[in-house]
Amino acid sequence: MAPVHDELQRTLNPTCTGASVIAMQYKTGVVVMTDRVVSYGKMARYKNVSRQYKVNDNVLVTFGGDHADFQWLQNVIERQVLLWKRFDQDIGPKALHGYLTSLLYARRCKMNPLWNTLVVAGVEEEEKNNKETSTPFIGIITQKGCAYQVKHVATGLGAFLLNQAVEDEFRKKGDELTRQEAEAVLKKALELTLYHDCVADNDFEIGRVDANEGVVLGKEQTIIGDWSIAETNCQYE
Amino acid sequence: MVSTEVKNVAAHMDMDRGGAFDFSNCIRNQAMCKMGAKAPKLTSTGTTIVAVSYKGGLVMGADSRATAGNIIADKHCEKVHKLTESIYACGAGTAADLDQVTKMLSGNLRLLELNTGRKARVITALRQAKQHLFNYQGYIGAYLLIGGVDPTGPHLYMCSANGTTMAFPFTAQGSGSYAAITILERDFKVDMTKEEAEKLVQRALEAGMHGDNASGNSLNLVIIEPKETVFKGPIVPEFCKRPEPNDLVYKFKTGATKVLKNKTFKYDIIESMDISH
Amino acid sequence: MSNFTGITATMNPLAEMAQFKQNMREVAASPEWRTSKLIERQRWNPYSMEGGSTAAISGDNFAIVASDTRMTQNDINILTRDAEKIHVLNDSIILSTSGFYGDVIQLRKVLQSRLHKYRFDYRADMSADLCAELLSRNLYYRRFFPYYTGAMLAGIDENGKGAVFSYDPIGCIERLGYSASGAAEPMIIPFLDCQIGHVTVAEDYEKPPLTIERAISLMKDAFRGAAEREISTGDKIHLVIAEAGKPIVQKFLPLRED
Repeated sequence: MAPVHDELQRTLNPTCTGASVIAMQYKTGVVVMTDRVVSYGKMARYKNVSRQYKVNDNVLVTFGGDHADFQWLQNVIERQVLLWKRFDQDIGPKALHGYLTSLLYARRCKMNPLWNTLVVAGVEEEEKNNKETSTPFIGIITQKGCAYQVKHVATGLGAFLLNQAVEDEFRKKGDELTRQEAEAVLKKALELTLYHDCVADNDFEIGRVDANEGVVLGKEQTIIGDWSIAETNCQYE
Repeated sequence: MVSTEVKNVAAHMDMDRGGAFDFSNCIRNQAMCKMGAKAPKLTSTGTTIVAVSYKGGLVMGADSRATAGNIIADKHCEKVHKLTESIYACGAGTAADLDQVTKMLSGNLRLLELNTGRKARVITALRQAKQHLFNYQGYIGAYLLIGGVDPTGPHLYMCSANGTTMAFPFTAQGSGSYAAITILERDFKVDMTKEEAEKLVQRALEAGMHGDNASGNSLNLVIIEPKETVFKGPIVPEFCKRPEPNDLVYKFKTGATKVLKNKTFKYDIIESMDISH
Repeated sequence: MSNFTGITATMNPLAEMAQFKQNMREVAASPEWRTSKLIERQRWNPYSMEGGSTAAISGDNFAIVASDTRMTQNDINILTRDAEKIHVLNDSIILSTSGFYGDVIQLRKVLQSRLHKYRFDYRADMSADLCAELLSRNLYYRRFFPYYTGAMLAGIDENGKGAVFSYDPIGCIERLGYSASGAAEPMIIPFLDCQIGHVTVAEDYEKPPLTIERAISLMKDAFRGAAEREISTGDKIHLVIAEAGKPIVQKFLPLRED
């Protein structure tokens, strides 16, 4: 039986957290958007922090949830990448997704979870060379080790707010979506979380994994949004 | 001796202060919970309700699914309640509470209209609702969107179960409100036409019904304008239709039910009775 | 509104009443709302439920498994409309699952690796009967931290007959003619009881034989019906058909999406 104070050493409530991750696949790759703030409760504690981690040229991992846990995970991922390097191989998105699923599930079984929702985005190396069969990969892993693959996703509060809107946009074009179109959808999506998620920020970055270009980390961008509605809101009663 | 008596009286006062409310069952319930009993759970209906104001009017709408746990209890449930000719309320939360609160409101507002000889104002409906709900500290699980048109223009209010109220140009409530509000934020414009507002409400409701398990089946709209109120529905979106019919026909021929026992009653009809006087 | 539940009649009503009165006195002396009780920290729950349903029917020389493909968060929010709940393990074994998806993935991994090892050791695929027993033991291995899954194993057994094995989360195994698990289980089971088990009709009533065509149609109709009334079932039917001597066929059919 574990001692009573044991739970104090576990992440049973997260401290510094990242909010939503929004990702979408387009014709030849995946675009992933995160905002650049790490919150302490409802306080915007650290600004200008990237929540995207470039694993290698084919894989990009982004996270929502506890920041400390993710920094630890970055270390674990790096070691895994080096392990593969020893056998002269580059880890692909599917393999990393599987590995992280097992890791998060194992930690949940120890009742010591990693408080993260991970989005693994990428393109498989062998599919990169064959443009016809190239299918971009987006894999989600929740804190409890529940993993699934999708074509578009929003995590955190975005799962409630944005999933349907993003799905409808995706369904209009399907797999024929271009990168510009996908990025436009994501930008609009961030603007919409901004209005309702109090820990979302208007500084954001869009990373992408493309079959031709590999992983390209995004630059910091800012969105203001439309606040003209405030004029009409007199709040009487 | 005296001090214990005072203590007892104090405890009692705490439990049933005045004559209006009797909280003595709270003690009994806690004692029962100590014996291992589980308190009953109230079921609340998952819902998407949406309302949008436009130039000179208001569009309100709701889906029509009522759930009890994970079972759809009613596919064609009416969530748009009429309060007066030009004031409507959409409800999310506990179904019974909503029915009673809206019934009370419509009765009170009609009385007011008859007494004063004028149309009731939306703010009156809101005040009545919030004062009633506040008294019950949130235990009446009614989350309302109250909206309508009165001589001072179109108004839309949200009223929470604990009595919080707010005014909005557009809003959504219920479990599907997250998906719906996103659509509203994206596409709302000030001073839309009636058609634009109607389409927007429909789109927002469809997003809520699509992305939320507890909303769906069909949607109802009410378009309130100073001159007339138009009710539309039920409208069934494409994704709410059955894509394929059943393969087989499930009809039992006679003889499917096993007869366990036969009993024959014989009646003698003596004469037909005349009950007209 | 339902009443208080959980009270069972005991052998000694007098003692129980005395206990109840004692509790009344205790609660009245210090009602919960007047004590400055520490807010208990909610214990972290290692389980979550992703909803959805699966069902399986076995016949003379076939087994049919079906599930919906919706994955849900918090019973309400749809995560994906293309989740995989039926896993084809080899040419004659199909695993179908509902419940906590993290456990589902783990269970599938364990079974796949054990099947792989078996193939390595014996140079033959494991039979459905053997795998059924293996699954039961794997489930019971986690008796005190269970895999929270309503698992079913279907396939063609060693004698070329269709087989469906149904499990509870901790490994109770039962070979049945048909079974269902998941959110719509209480709706699908009575339907199959009526149409395949014929438990509701008189003995001399004409009962149609269970052909593979009829079983497929019944399965489709069961999910169409469930999608009408169960909120976490919908989007698509994933239909997997195993027939003796034929490769396994997989199909996807549309369901309502609301």
